[in-house]
Amino acid sequence: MSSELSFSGVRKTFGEVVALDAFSLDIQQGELVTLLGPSGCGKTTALRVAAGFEHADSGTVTLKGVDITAMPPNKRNMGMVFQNYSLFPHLSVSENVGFGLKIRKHSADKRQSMVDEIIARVRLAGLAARYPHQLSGGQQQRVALARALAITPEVLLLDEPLSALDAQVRGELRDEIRRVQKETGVATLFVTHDQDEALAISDTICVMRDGAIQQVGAPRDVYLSPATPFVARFVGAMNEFAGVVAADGSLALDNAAGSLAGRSFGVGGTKLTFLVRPDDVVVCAASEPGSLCATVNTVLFGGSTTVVRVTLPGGLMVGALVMSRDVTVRIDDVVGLRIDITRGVVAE
Amino acid sequence: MSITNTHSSRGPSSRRSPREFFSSLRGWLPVAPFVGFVTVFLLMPAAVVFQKAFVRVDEPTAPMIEAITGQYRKSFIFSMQLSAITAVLGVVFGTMVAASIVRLGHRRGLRNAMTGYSAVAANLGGIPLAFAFLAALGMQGLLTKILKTSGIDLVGMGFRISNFWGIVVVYLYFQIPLMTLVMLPAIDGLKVTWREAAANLGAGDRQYWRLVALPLLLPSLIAGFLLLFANAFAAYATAYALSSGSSKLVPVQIRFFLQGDTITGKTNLGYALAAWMVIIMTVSMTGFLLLRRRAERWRR
Amino acid sequence: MKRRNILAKLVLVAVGLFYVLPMISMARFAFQRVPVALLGWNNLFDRWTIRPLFTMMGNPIFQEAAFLSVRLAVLSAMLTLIILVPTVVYVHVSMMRARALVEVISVLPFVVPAIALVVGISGAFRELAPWFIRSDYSLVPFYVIIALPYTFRSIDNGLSSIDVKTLVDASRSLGASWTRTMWSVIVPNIRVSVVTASFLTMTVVLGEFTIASLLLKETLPLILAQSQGQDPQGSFAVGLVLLIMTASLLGLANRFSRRRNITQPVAML
Repeated sequence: MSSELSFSGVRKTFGEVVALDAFSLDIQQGELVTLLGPSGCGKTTALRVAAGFEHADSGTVTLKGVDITAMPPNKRNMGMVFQNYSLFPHLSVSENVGFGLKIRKHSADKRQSMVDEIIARVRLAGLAARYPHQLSGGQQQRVALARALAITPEVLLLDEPLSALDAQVRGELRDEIRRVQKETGVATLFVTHDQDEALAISDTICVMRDGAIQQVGAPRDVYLSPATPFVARFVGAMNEFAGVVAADGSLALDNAAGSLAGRSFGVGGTKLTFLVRPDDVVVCAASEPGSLCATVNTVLFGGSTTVVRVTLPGGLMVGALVMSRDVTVRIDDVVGLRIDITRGVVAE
Repeated sequence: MSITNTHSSRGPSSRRSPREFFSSLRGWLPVAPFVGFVTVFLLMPAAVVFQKAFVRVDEPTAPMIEAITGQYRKSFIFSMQLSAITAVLGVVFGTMVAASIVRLGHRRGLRNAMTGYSAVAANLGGIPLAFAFLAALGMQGLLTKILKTSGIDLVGMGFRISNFWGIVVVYLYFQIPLMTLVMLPAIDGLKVTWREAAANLGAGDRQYWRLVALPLLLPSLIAGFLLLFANAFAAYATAYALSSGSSKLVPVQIRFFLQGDTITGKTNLGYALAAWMVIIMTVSMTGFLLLRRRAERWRR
Repeated sequence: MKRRNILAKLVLVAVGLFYVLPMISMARFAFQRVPVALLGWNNLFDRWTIRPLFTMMGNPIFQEAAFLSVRLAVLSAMLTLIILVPTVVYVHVSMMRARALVEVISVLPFVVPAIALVVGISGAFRELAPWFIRSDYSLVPFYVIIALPYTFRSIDNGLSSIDVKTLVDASRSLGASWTRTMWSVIVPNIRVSVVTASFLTMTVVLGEFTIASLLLKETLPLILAQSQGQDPQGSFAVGLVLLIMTASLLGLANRFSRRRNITQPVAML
């Protein structure tokens, strides 16, 4: 299946700074791909190169097989939703949404019906005559989405569209975007630094760092099988067990906190850190054989799940995710920790 | 009374008891000295102007009508023409300067210097400014001489600093920076995202300007015109100094009705002229303020 | 893109020249004892002297006018602060609803130009209180009025930027009286605005010609205009100095405001 949008070896520098380095990615029709990473990782640059607002220094961008690397942005037929302030303040909602159609010289009638349809689709019917300054942030972004979709774009580009919104609105709009994207089936490139958003909304996540791709995969894979320590730490929380590999391959933790056995961590004498998710840490009885000894430090109730934070001898803090209804421990209890060492990532 | 007033806590349907009414009145008390001061020293003289302007003393027609017909009609037209032309030229050049400043804006120092100077120049006027232009472009002016040696004989062409076009040039000295100050925030306010959104939706350069940028700048442009118009219309000192007190402009003409601190003559024509000036200023400034508010709303 | 940059630079250079050349001409006229007609490349730098300035400044009529203007400037600045600061502070702290009204009032002076105001002053005060406008100091309240749009904006911006209401609440909750709060909390934080407002008022006073001349008060600008015939070089010299002083005052006011990130009142548009 040929991809809708394709980056091939794209490189972009700003003076001394390398924003994108050998960036290659394919987005299929109907797929929602999220570029996820901390600020400065190049995700917005990649999006802007796709839109045509930045010129790649080298490499190509292809749309449905056509090389668009040098094509000006107004010819690309991609819809873009900006982080904020993108609605034209002097135009009403319908006029904003119909702007792209007006440029494409659709007749007034045709415009009106297309505009009405898309406004209904994003559930803003009734606000068509309002002006941007009369709308809330969430409503404004819906209009921006409608405006981008009205031109039936080949690709939908979203540049951190939820970052400027309140937490409550953010969740609603996130689901809204996903719903509309699935309904219209448009290939979508979504940029965010919020990993919860990325996990919830994407078909594919592309984790980026310093201009390079760390991992590309389904949300589930990225979360459960992080390819690099960076990905492991960035997506979801991680416990860090630092220690030295013993002669038998097990990991002797620093400060005599205990030992992780059951797999070979490598050559004896190597110093490394073993990253394990709180989901893979189980709180058990202190007497259980093979478990690490720990004292309960805090119990953070979070609704359906609770994070139990324990302290190991030597001071290391470890968090365990427990279903709230299964929590039986209290602060200062002495407990045991069972680590699932088949899951986890080794880092230097 | 509370430290920070929470008058808003009153419900919509409650009727105010006399006590509540007086206590809310008391809230306005500390503002009274200010209001009183402005009333005595601004509103009262203005009221007197209007009151006397409508009183017929010795002539067949009301002063207000007389003021804009007859011999003063020419003055009003002259003033309006001067104000309109300096306003238009000020709008054009001022906008160009503002656009240039924004374009070169990456150099912070330049921008601050130009803005600061514009703020200063916009308020320069009066006697010293007239002197400066007399020294530059008057009959014995330095620039007049320099231009003459380069082949452009200003005096021969009929240019006088006290004539219409001379005054236009002088007025531009403060009109241009004034317009620059009006347009800088407006041009700044043209967010990059709008340009990108327009391009993304298919608009080329020309379409962007026609459909997005120009409509957004228009209120500021018109507001600027009105402000400059009012500013030029009201100017007295500069006109007086350039023409040695004999200009056709309305503000200078009003002077003939004032001898010292007395209003001379039997008619109330002087009051009428002043009243018309206030009316024109009110219309212009109101238009300016309303348009500016519209432009600011979009800038948020 | 580059082409537009060049155009921008050209525009700024042209405008810069337009701003600067008259000043240079003025300086040349004032300080060079060579009539324009005889001026050529060869004697461009001859006979420059600062004498005209001193001649003028030595003139007793000039000195009286200058002192009068300075006195008026200082008094006007003081009156402005006395009237404006308590009012605007009160509005910000206790009665925000009044702010719109006060703001509208502060803009009214724009609507009554100086020349019209003078006509009104003559008509009003001649009948009611002729002793008032006979005094030179009668100019002070009117100067306060003229400067009002700018001075109000300055104080208002200053108070807005420090969220005075919260400061007052904090101060009062810690036990300070109103006076203490005013002096120890509010005023130190609006120092910049107060200074700016004072400079603005003084600038207005030093340059104001219309009202002074028509009420026959011998202020500095008036003397300048009158001396143009008798001592052209001297009056031009003083005019230049006045311009530079005014520009410096305003420039300083701007610099102050910018450093504290307060919207410049002279750029209030």
